[in-house]
Amino acid sequence: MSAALLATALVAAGCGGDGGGGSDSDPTSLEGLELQVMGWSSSEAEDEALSALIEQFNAETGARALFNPVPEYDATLQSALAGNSPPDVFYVDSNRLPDLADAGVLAPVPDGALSDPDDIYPSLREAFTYDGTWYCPPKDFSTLALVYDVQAFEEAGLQPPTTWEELRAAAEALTTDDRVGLVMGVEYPRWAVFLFQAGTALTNDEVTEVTIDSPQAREALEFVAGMYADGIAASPSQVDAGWAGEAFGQGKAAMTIEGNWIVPALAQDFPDREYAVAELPAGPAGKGTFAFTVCYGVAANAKNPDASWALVEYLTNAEGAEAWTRDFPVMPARASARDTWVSERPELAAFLAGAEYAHKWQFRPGFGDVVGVFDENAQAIVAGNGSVDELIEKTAAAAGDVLG
Amino acid sequence: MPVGSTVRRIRARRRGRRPGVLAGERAFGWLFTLPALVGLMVFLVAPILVTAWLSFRKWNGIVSPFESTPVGLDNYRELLTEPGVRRGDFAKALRNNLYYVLGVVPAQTTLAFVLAVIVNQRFLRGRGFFRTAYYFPSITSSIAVALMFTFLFQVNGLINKLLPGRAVNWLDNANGLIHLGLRAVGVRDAPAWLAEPEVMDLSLWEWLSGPSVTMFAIMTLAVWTTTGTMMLIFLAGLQSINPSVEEAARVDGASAVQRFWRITVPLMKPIIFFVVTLGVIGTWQVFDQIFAISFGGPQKTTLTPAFLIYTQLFQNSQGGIAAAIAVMVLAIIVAFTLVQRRLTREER
Amino acid sequence: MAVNAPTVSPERTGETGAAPAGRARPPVRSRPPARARPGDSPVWRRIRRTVGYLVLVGFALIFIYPFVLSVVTSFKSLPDIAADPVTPWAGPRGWTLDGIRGLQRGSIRIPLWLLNSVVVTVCVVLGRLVLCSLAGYALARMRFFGRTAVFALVVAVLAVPAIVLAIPRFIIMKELGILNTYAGLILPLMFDAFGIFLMKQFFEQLPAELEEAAAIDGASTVQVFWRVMLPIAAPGLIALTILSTQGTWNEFLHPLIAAPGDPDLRTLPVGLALLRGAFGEAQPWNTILAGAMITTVPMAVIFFVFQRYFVQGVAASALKD
Repeated sequence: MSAALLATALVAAGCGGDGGGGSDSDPTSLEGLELQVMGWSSSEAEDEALSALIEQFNAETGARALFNPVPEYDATLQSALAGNSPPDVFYVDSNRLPDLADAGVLAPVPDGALSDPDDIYPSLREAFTYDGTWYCPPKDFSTLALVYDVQAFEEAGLQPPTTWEELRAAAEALTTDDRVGLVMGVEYPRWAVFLFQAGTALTNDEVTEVTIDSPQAREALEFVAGMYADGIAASPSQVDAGWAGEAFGQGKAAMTIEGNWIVPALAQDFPDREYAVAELPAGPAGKGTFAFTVCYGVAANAKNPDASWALVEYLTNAEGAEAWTRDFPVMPARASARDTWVSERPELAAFLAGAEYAHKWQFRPGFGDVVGVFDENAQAIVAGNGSVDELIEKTAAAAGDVLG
Repeated sequence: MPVGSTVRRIRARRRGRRPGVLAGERAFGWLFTLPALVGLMVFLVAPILVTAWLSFRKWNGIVSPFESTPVGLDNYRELLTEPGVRRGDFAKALRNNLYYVLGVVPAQTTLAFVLAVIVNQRFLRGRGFFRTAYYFPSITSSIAVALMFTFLFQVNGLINKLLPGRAVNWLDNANGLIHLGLRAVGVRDAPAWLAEPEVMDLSLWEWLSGPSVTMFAIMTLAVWTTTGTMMLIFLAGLQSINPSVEEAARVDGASAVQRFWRITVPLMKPIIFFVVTLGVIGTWQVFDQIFAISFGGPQKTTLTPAFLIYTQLFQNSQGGIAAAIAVMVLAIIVAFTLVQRRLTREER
Repeated sequence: MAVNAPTVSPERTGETGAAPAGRARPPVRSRPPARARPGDSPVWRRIRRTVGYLVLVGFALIFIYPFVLSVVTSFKSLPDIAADPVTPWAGPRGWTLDGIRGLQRGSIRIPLWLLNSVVVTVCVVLGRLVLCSLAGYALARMRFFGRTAVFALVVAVLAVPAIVLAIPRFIIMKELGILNTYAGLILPLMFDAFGIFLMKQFFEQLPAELEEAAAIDGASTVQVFWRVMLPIAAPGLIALTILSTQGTWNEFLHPLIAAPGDPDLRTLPVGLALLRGAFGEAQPWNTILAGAMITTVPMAVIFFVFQRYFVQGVAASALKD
């Protein structure tokens, strides 16, 4: 009762507070306009590159835009959104896009706001499209690939595996007393690549139908589970590592499945480890991997929508995309920037090749619970107290609940 | 018994003040309380009321709470009566946290009290050093604490080297301690009368698992890092005990152990009540350690209600569910506190 | 137990005026006459004491090692840290100032954050000392209508996980117009249920006779509180000061929510959290721990200084029977 009263009072108070964004002057001029890009801090190099790019924008337009990285991003952003004081531009992970779009807090990309949108990889545009509406242009992306220990492969006389059979054989051959063939995180964003390679996933692409109980999914899961059961694959914690990259760097793993971020991590922590990157082996249905990507979103109730989109355009157009990805291993989201990127770092071409067949990391609002069930049961399989049957049964049931 | 009479005398004096001695007690009571109360109302009670209200609404945590829609008891139903993932997760979180509370609160309270009594001794050399040392985990960077902790509990870590038997993977081990204990005496599988009946999607056998090995490791970390704060509060409480009381008991011939149990402990009751209540509140809201170390895993055996609130609110767009969990955490803590108060009262 | 002749132990002698009046107290630290129990022979005592100290020191080392580790690690190179994170010496790459240098990059503004943290902490702690001791005293010692309800409210407020309150609190701060201001950083933290609860318990533990005597002598309620009760509640106030300082100094969620839009209003914990990258993997541990040092050391100093006032009898000596 009193809660309702209080709520009413707050609503009443809230109605008076807003309005008047201060854009009375010429709407096309950015002179002196304050704009804030809220995001998370990725790395020193990345933060500084983005700030430099924004500075350049300020120099050209007279705006006073600023990159504001915040820790604990989701909580900070949601407070700002729920409190009706959104930042002008903010990072949106493809995994969070359905939630934000569904809540109606994102502005769709206005017609003509972005130059040459067809240059952006369709799969990445699609990752930021929800119910037919395109909301924001990708900032960059990463994919999963097979990272392998060059020395270990040479000693064993092996070539990087290109099929499941070869992967299994390589893992077997490379497993020794103090090294495991493949160390891989036990979670959906790693295991799912095998589902893709078998031609399926947890659900269909539209997230309307459960497909984890398909025969293809079972085949993929049994293949993965088999490698753990036979001791030729391991979880990071089984080899005393915090994550797969650390296990790989320490030489406890000959192969791992990780994304672009492993490159700076290895350079920083394990500069002596000689490694190479190959595309993930193909399964019965061909190649498959995950793409992880982030876009620049603009709030539906943005104070200065035009200026915000002008900034987003500046950061994501062909020049912006190239400038942005010049110094680190994340990849430009535009096909036109592809050749420059690969020519400067051919050794990482396998990551970029994944763009052709990558799946997006995205479901529907409320689907986190289902992924949680998958992970829980995958952990049980690796720990030896679960089974593929149980994983399929429980995940399918949970997914069925959410999809109704 | 001389000791008992001393305590009785002291306690009678302490508690027996005639009400109304202070001039204008009724008015001053409110006057003294009001400034704090107004602030609490605005910054804590109001948000809590909003949260309680949201627990009856569908809210994604992204739009304003006042754009939420009413759903009656749906959130509570999903968590308590409808079979499914949410109820199962909530049940696991309750189970995990209950074992956590039952393990951590007695351990940290006892350890902190003993340490406080020791570092309160006049004859102790390097008292300042010991006090500061025991307080250090409370202020040291949690990252350093976590690093050291992970190292200690690794498969090849120090703990396994010190313990006899096969190396244990402490940080990734979902086996419950009670299950392991039963296994040691030959009970491998649940008897039918425990395996069959389910309460909130968990069989009785699963409810009785005990904390998982990983949760147990996190519990030791919690004791280690919070003991210092509790010790500080006890230490301050010990200051308020008039040494003449203890002296009198000593003269009456009471041994150190007797003095501890019959003088120190009874006189410290308000502080013990405080520390235990604080412990219950803190442990029922455990979040940081879980977030930093296990993220709810392995196999959800370190899932806690506070961690569920975080994931439901900030990763799963279920703000209404998160609010309902928060209200239930509040109810549980209040229930625990009332029981604890009843217990300490009766003992008197 | 056998009632022996009264003995005066060394730890009590000649230090405070708290022993029962009229008893002879030799002003030297002499050992009391050995009792008839075998465990009390001088040799035994010495062994017991040595073992006791060893146990205490052992415990202390475990408690203090993470701190030592973070000091050392901030001078190690990243590959050495990755190879061996917990040894207190440098690896093959030797000592380095890389960690410290990491704190000097453009977006890291330690002096500003430090200043913000100091301002916020000082204001909040002063505010809490006043508000909590007033409210705590009233709840402990005064009989007034609604007292139990107020106390129940204070405890109940502590029982809700803070994370769920983030969004409602943000909205309230917005309505009050204190978002992205110092007032927004400080005010909400000043009202602290924990501190009220703490002070109530401490006042409850104190003996009543001084208060009664003063009141009978005609002191006003404010005088009784200010002149009589507050001084003997010093241990509680010191505890409140230490714990509030520590809590406010390390507070992360509130400053994050209260000033998300203004990088100039970041406090140390919020700023230093930015040192951690998004991927949670390639972390500059040496820089992170060097930053952590800046938050830890002031707290350690404050604790060490204040704990010296915890000497049994200082408070109680005011209450000689």
